[in-house]
Amino acid sequence: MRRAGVVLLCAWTAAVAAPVRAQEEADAGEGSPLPVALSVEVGFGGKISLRGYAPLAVGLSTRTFRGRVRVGLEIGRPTEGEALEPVGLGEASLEPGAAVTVRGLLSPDLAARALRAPLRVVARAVDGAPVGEIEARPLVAEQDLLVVLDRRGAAPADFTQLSLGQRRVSTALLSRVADLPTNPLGYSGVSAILLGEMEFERWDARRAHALAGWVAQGGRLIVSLGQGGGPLKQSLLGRALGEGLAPVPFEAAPRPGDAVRLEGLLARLGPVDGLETLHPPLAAVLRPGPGDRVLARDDTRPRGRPFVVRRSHGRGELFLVASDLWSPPFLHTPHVRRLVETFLQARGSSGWQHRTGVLFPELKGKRMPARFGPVFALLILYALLAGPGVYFLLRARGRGLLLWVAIPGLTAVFSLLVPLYRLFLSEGESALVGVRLLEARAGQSVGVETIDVLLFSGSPDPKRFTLAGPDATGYAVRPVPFASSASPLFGEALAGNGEGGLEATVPVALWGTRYLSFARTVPAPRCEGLVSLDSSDAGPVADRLRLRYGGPRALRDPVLVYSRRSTLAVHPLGERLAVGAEFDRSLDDVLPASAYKAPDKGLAGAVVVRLLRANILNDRRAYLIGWYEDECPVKAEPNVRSRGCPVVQVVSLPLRFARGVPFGVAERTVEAATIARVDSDTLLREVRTRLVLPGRGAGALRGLRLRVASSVQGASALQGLQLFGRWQGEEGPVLKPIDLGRAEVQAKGRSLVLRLTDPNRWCSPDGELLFVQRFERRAAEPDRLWAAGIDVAAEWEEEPKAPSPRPGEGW
Amino acid sequence: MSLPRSSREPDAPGEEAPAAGGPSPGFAPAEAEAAREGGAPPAAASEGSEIPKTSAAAGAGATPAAHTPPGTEEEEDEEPYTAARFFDNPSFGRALRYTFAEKRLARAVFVSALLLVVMLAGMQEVFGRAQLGLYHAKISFGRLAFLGMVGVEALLLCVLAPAGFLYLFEAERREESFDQVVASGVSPHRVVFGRFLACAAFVGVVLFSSLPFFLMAVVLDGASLGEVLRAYLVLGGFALALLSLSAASSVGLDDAALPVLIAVVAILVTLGGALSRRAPPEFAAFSPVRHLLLGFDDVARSLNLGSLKPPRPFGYELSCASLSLLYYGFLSAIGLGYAYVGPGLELTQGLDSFDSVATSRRTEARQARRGVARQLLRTVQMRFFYENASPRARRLAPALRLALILFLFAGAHAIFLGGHWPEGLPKGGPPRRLVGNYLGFCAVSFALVAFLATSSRSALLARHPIALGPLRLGKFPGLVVVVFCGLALPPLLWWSACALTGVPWALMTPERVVGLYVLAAGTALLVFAVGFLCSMLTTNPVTATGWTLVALFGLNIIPLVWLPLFTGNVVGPGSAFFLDFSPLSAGYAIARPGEPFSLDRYEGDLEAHYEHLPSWEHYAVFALVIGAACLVAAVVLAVRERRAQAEARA
Repeated sequence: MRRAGVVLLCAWTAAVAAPVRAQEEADAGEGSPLPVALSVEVGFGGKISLRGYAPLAVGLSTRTFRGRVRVGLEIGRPTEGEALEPVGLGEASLEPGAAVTVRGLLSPDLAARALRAPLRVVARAVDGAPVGEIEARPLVAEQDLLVVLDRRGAAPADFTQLSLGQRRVSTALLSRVADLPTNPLGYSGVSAILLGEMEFERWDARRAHALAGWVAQGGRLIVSLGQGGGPLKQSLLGRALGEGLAPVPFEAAPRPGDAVRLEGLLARLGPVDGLETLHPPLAAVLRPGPGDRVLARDDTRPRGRPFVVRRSHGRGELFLVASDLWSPPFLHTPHVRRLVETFLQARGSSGWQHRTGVLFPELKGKRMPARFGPVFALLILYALLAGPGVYFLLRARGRGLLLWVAIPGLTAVFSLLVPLYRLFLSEGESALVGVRLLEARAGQSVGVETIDVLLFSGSPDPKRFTLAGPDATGYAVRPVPFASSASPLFGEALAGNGEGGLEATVPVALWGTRYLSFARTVPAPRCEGLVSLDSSDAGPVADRLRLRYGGPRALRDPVLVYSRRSTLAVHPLGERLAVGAEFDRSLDDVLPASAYKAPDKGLAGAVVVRLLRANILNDRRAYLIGWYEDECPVKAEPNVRSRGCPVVQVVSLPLRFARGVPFGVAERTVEAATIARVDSDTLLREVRTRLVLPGRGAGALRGLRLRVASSVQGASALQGLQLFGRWQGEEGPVLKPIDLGRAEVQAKGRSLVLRLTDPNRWCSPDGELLFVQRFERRAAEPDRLWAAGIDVAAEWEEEPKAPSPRPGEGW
Repeated sequence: MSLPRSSREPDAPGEEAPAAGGPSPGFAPAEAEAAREGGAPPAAASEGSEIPKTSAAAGAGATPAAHTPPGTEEEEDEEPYTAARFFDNPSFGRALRYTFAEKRLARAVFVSALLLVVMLAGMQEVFGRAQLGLYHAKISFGRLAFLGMVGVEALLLCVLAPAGFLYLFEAERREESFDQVVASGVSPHRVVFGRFLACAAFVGVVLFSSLPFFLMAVVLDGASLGEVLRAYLVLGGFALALLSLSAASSVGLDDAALPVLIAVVAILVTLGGALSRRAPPEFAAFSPVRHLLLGFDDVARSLNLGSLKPPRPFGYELSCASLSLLYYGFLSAIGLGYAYVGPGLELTQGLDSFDSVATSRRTEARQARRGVARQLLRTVQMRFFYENASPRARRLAPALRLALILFLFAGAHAIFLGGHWPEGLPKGGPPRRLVGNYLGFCAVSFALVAFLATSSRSALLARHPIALGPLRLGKFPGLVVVVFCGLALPPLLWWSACALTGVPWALMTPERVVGLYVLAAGTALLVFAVGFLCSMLTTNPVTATGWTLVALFGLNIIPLVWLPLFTGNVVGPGSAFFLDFSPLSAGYAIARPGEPFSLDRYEGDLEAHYEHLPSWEHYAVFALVIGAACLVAAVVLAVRERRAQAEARA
């Protein structure tokens, strides 16, 4: 007995000491080099933005190792490391002497955590042993990140001072096509991309579709055309951008620089005195189409040729600049920076957009009951038998003592039965519930489709998802713990986009649920029309809709949504909008969007209602919204059954302002500058607000009202504001002071409204108004504490006759 | 008192159980016992309900067991029922057949299974309704179910294991057995450990009955077979620890309230250790669920819910399950050891712990209400019971008790220090958290050990010395050895930790740390001296403990009274040295040398500001004088007591 005790004690001591020994051995082995050398590039030149996913490229090279490795991410110390599923990373086959690059994506959540703890990239062999490891610490950019793509490897000017209002904009430079992401999500954290000469012949299809897909999904691309549009349009990137480059004619040769004079444009961006020249070497020909907007023209007479054109493409937009920004007169001047700042400030798309915020709250509430019934039945039967059943049986026979044997025996029998349930589970069917949101602009051929799906797993196998489309993207979405109303978080991105579309395998636990969001570009619905608004702030309303709907599918519960007198209004168009239907009707019967109740009580109706309240609809567009049932384009295997996937279709229509524009419609650009330093701590600041009236210029205005609103102070504080407006005098434009003392105070108390006399003198022929505020503030204070928000409302003499916008006019 | 002999073989296994309240077939020698004790009629022995009176009467009227020379081989062979190993073992078999079998076992298994089913149903509802699977790919129903199952079983064990020892000695009327067992003269170890084994079997069967549920977790991909095995090991260890502690507390202290208290503490430890993120990981490993929750650390961190760190005692990586098993092994060893040695109830001539019981009927009734009479009854019962222990056990018990005290002391210190020891090389000396927490723990544990001095009188007058082979040591010297070993242990442990982790000893023992340790040790010696003196002034150890507490309270707190006296302008700054007689002030002086106390008061309408630089020397001199005086007085009293005892014997 004693001997046995001693043996047990020794065994226990050895068992306890084993982990300690293992730790010592692990410590001793720390110095040994791993066979695979890793290099890692996070983001764009090491910079990432937490607004979206960041590209991650891991280079693997080895001299001795041969075999497959799996590259994954871990965060934290090795002993406490969280072994993550490969986040967009994957497997690679290594041969001695060969170098391989594995690309993936870093989710914003993961990137944020990588700031607190080192992000470790670990390559593991098939048996799980680490064969290579490296740490990376990404640099987090400011909130906005501008990526410059140009083979010359430098920005056209010093962009360190680039800002967007009060926010600093970081700049990252990429000069090699090979460094570009291969997934549109790789650009999702980028605010804008400035594209110069980027070896267009070297672009492959994946990278071309990645960039084009990002633009269509909300990206903002600034194209510096330089040599003309030919090389770009011929390239794979040009083909992927498709109609986005429509204003760049393929056949037109670039104009010689001496025929182009840019004094007007450059003067708007800064002093022109020190510039070497006012002529670019070459200038591409731009032919804006319907819906495009000319932001700047050259100085040719009588009306300048388009020099900067802004064009919508899907949810995003392109800024086409006719000249090479890397050459005079822009090169190394602050004018380029200000020009880019103008593009960044332009109202509209502000980078990659997702619609998960609209779809997630509705879809996540869907539930599928787990098939747990048989298990419960078995376990309850066991509880009854092992407890009272066997007791009463044995007690009746006076053999209560046998319980000590009967219960363990019964336990053993049921324990043998339980694994059989695995056979039942292996045949379990999974369910896929989804909803699609298809967005497009009337008259455009490119639409963007967001497909959110919820998978209820009925079997333990991982699920394989496929989605057709060269720019298809997908990522997991998860709710914020303990905050059901908060915006959902982005999870791991699904890898594998390319010509064949997206194909990814996602582990889903048995009876678990995964929410995945997909997006891709698709052909836009065939729809034309416009909403003509009688948008004076007073008088009877006489809005009108002209519409021709060409499908592809008839819409159920169609509604027209537009902003009417600063309130989102809904006009129901009946129960069904058939393919080929045409409308020309006045919009008398409208109701506020907040009061709209969708006839459909299902998922589609809920999504429509949430869409109306999600504050994502542009108040200078009208929207035709309806839905139909269709097949879910996201396929999942094995044994996954799709259970409905309604398509909510949103087509935006242009608005025409008939007799005027209300407040909130004029496009506004704000520039701020320090005029003088009053003392060591006080600055004299000047804020210039440019407002562009839609469609109409000077000469036709009947009334002009100015609204000056303070963001933080009461209206009384505005009385002392120095405000000037550009006034067209007899000898040219001058800055005329505006007396705010005679303004009427609006109800909310933070704004003043002033009716400007002789309205046509305040407005340029292009419909532009300029207002200048001057104030003193402390150096550490933001401008918004002192600067007021400026807005105008205008009324015209008569309703314009043209039913649709002319090319180059916009709106 | 002579030990009972049994000339009768036990009944055959499987014999028909008697009706409730009837005599047990294995307990026939009641008549023999009654005849031996001479205080209980045979009829009473055959009636279960009369047994307590018999035992109490026998215990109260019996002469001490010292009348029988211990340690003869003849006695070792005289223990009855030595052949009864299984069902006919007087306690084990009885418990298997009546206490736990039939209804209780079936009920426990059913409740366990029902709780697991309810937990699964609730988990499924929560999992589906809250869409928990959406939050993380690694949150699956199977994993959560497995975690829930282990949690339910752990909580069930927290109740079942201590409940097995509830009313072990007091529920004669309900059990109708134990006094019969006691009266049968069987060895207390066979009775207590038989009961322990029966409880273990009961808990084991209940635990095993959850196997289909755990296998269901395996089928649902919630756990691997290895994880299930590990969970069973940890739960089993947890159950054994609880059983051991319950056995020890039931035997040594109380079997009515303490098992309930153990159950409550076990539930709190299980839940707190599992869920708390702030608890040191080394302490949280006491929870049998903690090792599973650590598996959810990646999920918790991914969801920004904080992190659950694995235990790293002394900076070494050790799996949480292993550490939990180590703890449970330690607690089991302590509990079983105490159950083996039994309560220290050697009633010495001239020592009357419960002298107030029989002063008057009214007083007796009042004190009975307070539980004193019940305690006396229990004391007598336990003494009677444990004097049936084998001579070897009686020889070993004093030494084993001291060893257990030291083992408990060393284990607690090792666990505490391991949980606070810094990882890697600390910069600029030991971390403040380590010094503050550990030296505070030392001060408290030293004081507790020093309180052993309140039983000095019984130790001095004890009949049985501590025997370890040929070595003999008086109980009082043994007590002194324990106190000094306790005081010497922390430096030894500190040095071992330094050597184990490669931290330089000189770096970890700055003057400040040594000073604080000496202060704590010196204060403990003062407590010992005061306790020693108080124990010599009374025949009641409880009274001695009370007096010691009062004296120490006065010594430590009265100097602090100077503060309100000073601010009330009763005393002036010249008497500030009085404040230094407090150990708190001395500790402050050592921990923060050169930092004065700031004191403000109003003198008239003016606010006066004083600064007092505390000094440990005042306290050292004060404690030395008081301690020496107490020690001298106690030694004088002890010598007189021994002399009087010798004269009485003569």
